Amino acid sequence: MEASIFLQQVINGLVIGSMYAMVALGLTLIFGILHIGNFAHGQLYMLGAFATYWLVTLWGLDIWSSMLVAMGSMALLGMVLERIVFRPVHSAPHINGLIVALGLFIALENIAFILWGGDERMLPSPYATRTITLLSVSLTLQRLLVFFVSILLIFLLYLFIQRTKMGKAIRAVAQDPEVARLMGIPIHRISAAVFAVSSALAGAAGALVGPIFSVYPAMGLVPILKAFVVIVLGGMGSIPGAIFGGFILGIAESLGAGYFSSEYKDGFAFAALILVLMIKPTGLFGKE
Amino acid sequence: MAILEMEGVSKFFGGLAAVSHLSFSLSLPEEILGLIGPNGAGKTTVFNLITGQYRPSEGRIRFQGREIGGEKPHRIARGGIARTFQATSLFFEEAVLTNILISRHCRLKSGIWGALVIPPFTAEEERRALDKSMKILETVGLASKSNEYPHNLTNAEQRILMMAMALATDPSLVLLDEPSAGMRPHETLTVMNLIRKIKELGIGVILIEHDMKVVMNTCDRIVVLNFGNKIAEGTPEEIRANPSVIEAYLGRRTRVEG
Amino acid sequence: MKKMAGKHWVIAGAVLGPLIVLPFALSKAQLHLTVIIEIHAILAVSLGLVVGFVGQLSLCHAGLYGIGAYTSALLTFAHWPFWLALPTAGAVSGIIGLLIGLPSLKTRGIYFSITTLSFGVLMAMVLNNWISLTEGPDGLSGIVSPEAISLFGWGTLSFKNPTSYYFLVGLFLLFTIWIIRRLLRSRVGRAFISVRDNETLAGSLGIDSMRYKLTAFTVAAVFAGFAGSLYAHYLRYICPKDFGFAESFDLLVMVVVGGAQTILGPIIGAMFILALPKFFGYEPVYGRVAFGIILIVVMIFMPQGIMGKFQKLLESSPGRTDGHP
Repeated sequence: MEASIFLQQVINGLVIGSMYAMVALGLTLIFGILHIGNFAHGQLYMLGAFATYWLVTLWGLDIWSSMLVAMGSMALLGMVLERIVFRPVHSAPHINGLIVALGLFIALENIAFILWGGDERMLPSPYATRTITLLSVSLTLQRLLVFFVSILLIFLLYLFIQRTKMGKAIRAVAQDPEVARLMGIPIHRISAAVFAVSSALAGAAGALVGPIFSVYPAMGLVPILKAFVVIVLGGMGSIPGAIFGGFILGIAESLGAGYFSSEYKDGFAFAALILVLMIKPTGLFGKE
Repeated sequence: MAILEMEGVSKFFGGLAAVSHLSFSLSLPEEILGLIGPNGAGKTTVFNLITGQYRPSEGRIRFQGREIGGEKPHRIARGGIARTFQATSLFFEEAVLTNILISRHCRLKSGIWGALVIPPFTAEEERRALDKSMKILETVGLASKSNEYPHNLTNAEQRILMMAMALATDPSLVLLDEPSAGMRPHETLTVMNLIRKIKELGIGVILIEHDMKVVMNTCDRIVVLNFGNKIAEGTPEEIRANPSVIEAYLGRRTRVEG
Repeated sequence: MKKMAGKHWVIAGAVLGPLIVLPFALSKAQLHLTVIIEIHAILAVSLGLVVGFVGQLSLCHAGLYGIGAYTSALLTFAHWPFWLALPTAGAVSGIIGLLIGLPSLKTRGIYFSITTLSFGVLMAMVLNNWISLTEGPDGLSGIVSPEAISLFGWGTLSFKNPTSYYFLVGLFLLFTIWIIRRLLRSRVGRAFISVRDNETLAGSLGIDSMRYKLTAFTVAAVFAGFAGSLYAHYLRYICPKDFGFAESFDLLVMVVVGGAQTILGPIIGAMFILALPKFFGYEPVYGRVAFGIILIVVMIFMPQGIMGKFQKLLESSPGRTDGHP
């Protein structure tokens, strides 16, 4: 009994972990490069899920195209939000940026509630119903897809950051914004690009996970909280930290839920966060 | 008895030694010690080590016989070491007099009980603190600006205010980090007089300065740093004539004439 | 310390006079709302101490409010008198606040906000899941009203009606304002603002920043506990949903919109935020959207809030030596 339950939990953990990793990745990009703690990031996850839902159910698009369109629209929305909400408070004390992000978070969640109601909806996906058996563990094809598509997107992001001109510019700004500006790098375009990429990732996460956990306006809170836990533990601004941290949290949570208690499962991440911050107030790999 | 002793103190950041095996001491309570050297020599790092902003990687720091290396800044300040900062650091949201009043904090006692109940002790303490604060402002010549906000002061007045705040903590030793930065000659004279006045009060001074006129005219002894190492130590005359000091400053714009 | 000048008494009278008559002029519903506003004013002022004077965004205040409420309710179920349960609730919330503050205040900025948010989530989780103690999501009902107090010959003052409760909470609010005002005008208050404005400088002047941040945080927690108790025995029914993240957010909006760095600001904020929806046919969802947008707009255009802006206008005159509201 032990081994296959263990494996089942680990595999579930990897699936959830890949979602955490994608949301955390966007969050850490925004924080590491723009020094904004974008709490509202969780709503881009939620809106990405909803966009995909409406595209599939109202417009009859297939799940893949829906996801791509959702990612694109989230990227656009991210850029708009950067321009009208975050840029005005960029040079103000940090607490202002936090407050603004909070306000945005609440506003977006409740707008979604007004538009679509609070009911949970199932995002129909052809992969959600087919199961396969892997190493004596059975899981739906959807879960498998979440994992592999996440890895693919993360890899594409890596290529983007490391190989493209824009990616190099982003890295320059991350290292030293003043020098980057002096070298003529258009900071505002970088901000827009970072928000676009991060929001697209969040939207993709929502689209992928929607068929598994259902879609509803309040779905953004827990992932964003977990994402913050991940990047505090993995290091604010660290890309590998966000990725590995996400997976590790997913697995740890899954095992915790399986072996201890599933009601307090969510609390596990926060307890871990508090514990770590008590010992190292700047996070496990933090510098400042 | 030495009031401050640095014994083989080093500070490493990663692989870089900002300060390397530094030893010197302040041997009389009223000695004015100058700390000079080119930019990046490690002078402010030395201050940060003494006041607890940094913990020494190696070596010992002793103040009045007691080891203080690695102690928290607020404890070191309470223990009698005050400092000013290289960049102008003030409470810009508060009036000048309030800045001084805040600086009196560690010499006052009233806590929450005093704040809420206001026994005679607290009222008296506040009265005395206000008096003392005004006296300090008179000493430094800023009494007329007591109700102004710092942003309305000139650069020189702001830097003098920083010195006044350091003095308000009733220190035994004051570390001044480039007090005359950005000042014109007649303002620099005010700073020199102030430094001498501090000596008269029996307070030790360690002075970081780039303006050689201030250094040569106020310091009893000078320690010269370059790349984190002490390259010379002696009286102003000895330092002026020291070839390695001149070499360290070669190519840099400093006025070495006195 | 400044003594109250004669004209201050006149102003106080002019303000308090109408407030004393107010409850008799309001309808039942309006009076109910006013009591709720008063309770939230206490919460907002105490949160304002942390946000405005420590300068950090605490997102667990509603949790401390909840702990005060549940503590007080449960103690009275155990046959404690309300008048003992109230201070105990404050003390319990204060202790929990201290325990939360100790690790949280070692962090700053977003780390601090996420840490307090996590504590808030944990507190709500405990309230929701510890069913044997708290009845979980169903909440506690049948909470007693405060016991009547005898007025030595003039009969007894009962607290089963909103009017006397209005005065009870009102007095408590005045008490809260008085305490915080006294604190801010003292050596302790000077330490608060020095730590907020320039922590490094404060340290170099001998001020232990951790100690003072903790003091402010704990004082705020105590008042949150008092507010919780007052709430529980007024509404006589409480459930975990009242004390979660949404509530913490609402409180934050009150503080920010009213003016975090003032004492009266959060009170104005509480009035504004709680009364506003009533004018538009109250639907919590629309209210929250409005709050979110208001928060963004205020932060961009008027970060000092209503009261802050008002004070800046008054401040073109010579500065004050004890500097504060």
